[in-house]
Amino acid sequence: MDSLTLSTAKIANGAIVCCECELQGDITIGSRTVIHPRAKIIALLGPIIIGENNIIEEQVQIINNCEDAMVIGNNNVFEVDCRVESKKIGDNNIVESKAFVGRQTSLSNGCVIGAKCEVLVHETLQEGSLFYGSGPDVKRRVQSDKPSAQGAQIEFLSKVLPNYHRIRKPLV
Amino acid sequence: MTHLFKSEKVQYLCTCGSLKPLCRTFFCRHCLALKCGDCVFHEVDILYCSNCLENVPPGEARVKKNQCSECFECPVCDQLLLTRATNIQVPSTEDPSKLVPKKMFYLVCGFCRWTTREAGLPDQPSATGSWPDSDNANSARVAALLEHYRSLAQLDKFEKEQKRQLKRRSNYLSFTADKYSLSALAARKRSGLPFSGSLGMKKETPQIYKVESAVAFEETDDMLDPEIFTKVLNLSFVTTIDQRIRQSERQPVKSEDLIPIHKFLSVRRSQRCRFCEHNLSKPEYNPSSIKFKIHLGAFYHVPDVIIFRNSRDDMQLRLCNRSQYPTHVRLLSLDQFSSIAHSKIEELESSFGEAEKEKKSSSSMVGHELCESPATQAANFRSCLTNALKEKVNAFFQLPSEQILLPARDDLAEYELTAPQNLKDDPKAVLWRKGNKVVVSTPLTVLDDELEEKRAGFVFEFGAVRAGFETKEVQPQPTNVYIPVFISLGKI
Repeated sequence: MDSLTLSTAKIANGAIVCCECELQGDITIGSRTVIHPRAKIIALLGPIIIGENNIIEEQVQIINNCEDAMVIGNNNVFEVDCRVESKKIGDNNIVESKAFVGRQTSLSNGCVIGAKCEVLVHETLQEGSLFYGSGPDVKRRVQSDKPSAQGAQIEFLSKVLPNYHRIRKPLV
Repeated sequence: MTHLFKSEKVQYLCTCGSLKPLCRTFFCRHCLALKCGDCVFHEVDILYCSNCLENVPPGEARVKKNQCSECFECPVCDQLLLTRATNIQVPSTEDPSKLVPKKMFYLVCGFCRWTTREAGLPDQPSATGSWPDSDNANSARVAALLEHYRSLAQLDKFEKEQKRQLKRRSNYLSFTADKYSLSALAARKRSGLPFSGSLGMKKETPQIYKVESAVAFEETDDMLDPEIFTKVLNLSFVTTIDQRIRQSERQPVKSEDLIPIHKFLSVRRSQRCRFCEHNLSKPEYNPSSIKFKIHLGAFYHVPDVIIFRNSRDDMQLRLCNRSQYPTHVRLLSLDQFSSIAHSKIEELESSFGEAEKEKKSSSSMVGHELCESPATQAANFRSCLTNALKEKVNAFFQLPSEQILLPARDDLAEYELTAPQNLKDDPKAVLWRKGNKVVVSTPLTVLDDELEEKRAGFVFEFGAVRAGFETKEVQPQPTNVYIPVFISLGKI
């Protein structure tokens, strides 16, 4: 399968990237990041740089439609079926299932985008801001508790995923 | 499959005049009439918490302000709060130098991730922790005012009773006292001394609870902070109106003052026929049980009509009998029904004249007597006829004229290999028969071709057994019940 996907993804040592995920374009993936099968990371016009310790679950679409580089920081969690087009994402964020983060929004640190929320505001979100609600009724607030680290989850996935899926070889 | 039964196309006319699908109505077996949700009494049966499924008796609920003591709701988004545990290191009781892990609990909302730590509430050592209750700054004053007005009301009541007693007593005295010289009372009255009420009814005049009258101040407690004019407001730290009103006792302005709210109890209701006051629907005591003690849904007593084929030339309706007794069904047009209704009303009114001679007034009759009285039945026929004639109909069915037998529901019928009994049916009317179902052909004549939505109606006559007669010796005679049915045929 490696020969079929003409991907020039630079995968660091220690990253677990399944073969079944779709990588297109110029992508850099940091170490200890776990990318589940069926994820789509498509760098259409510009490169995507993903940091360390991230979890990108199934059916996630990370798409870069601009020519600028899209930078994703460390310790982020992208839950199932979310869609991210934002140009800059900081650390410790959680994008929950079926959420949509638009191109004009930038997440700083510790933000939580709730399930099925569409966030298209043209701003950099305040640290710790939280979006919840659904449809046209999305509300926001600032939370004081930061989302907890996912270290245990990453360790578990690093051990279990290679048993069931083929993992791409690291390519620096 | 719910849409098959919950169809809005076939609607039955309830006694209150509203059209409902059959599955939304009840059938009162005493009045022998359809009752819908709008024309029954709804009563509170039991109060329970929808999360912990705990039954709360009404007296206790009133004390707890209709709130569950264990379950909490998020003050921000109104969802249920979950309890989460963390481990912290605490010096153990035996050896203060050693650190022992201890579980501390806090509440978190699954939807908006609000935690009790945001309100500044410390983590509780027990899972069913003692989270603070919302306290009302004015509760003492409100309680005092309530006592005051309650005592005023009692005084009013006492005075009224005294007046009534005086009136009664005065009549009584004038007849008997002078005759039999009930000396004490008569003497007092003659001498004009006030009534002490010492003859049997010793009641003290209730005292009025004294309350200080409110004093007006120029400056109140909750004055606006003058900084509101100078400082930039951060909306993330201010509560919304919804959040404020939900905690009406405290009405916090800042979001850090929001505390968990006790979850409100839900109600299980029982429904009662408005006329004969028999129960139509009564749930079980156990809150997690979905069964009913009494459930007189019309679905199980009234035969069901479904459009089997919806074409202008070959209209077919399917009738299905889901009750335990076989019934004879007749489909009547509205004209036929009105003639039958008029004749029945005359018949009942003549017998009504005879009942009047026995001096039975309707107010003294209760329960099934009331339902069976000729006056009631005549009134029912009248109202049914007027309601049926009010509905606009722009197509007519050609209905079969004779009675059709609908056998009772038999759950074992599908397993029986023997052929069903041969019933003599008119082959033009009854097209198909299986078990308790019958398909009837009803050709359509349309009045006005231009109107898009066609609507037709007929009156359903079927035999129903009145409740209260279930003895084995006497076979209960089914009474004819008339229910108008209206069918929207759509664009055909």
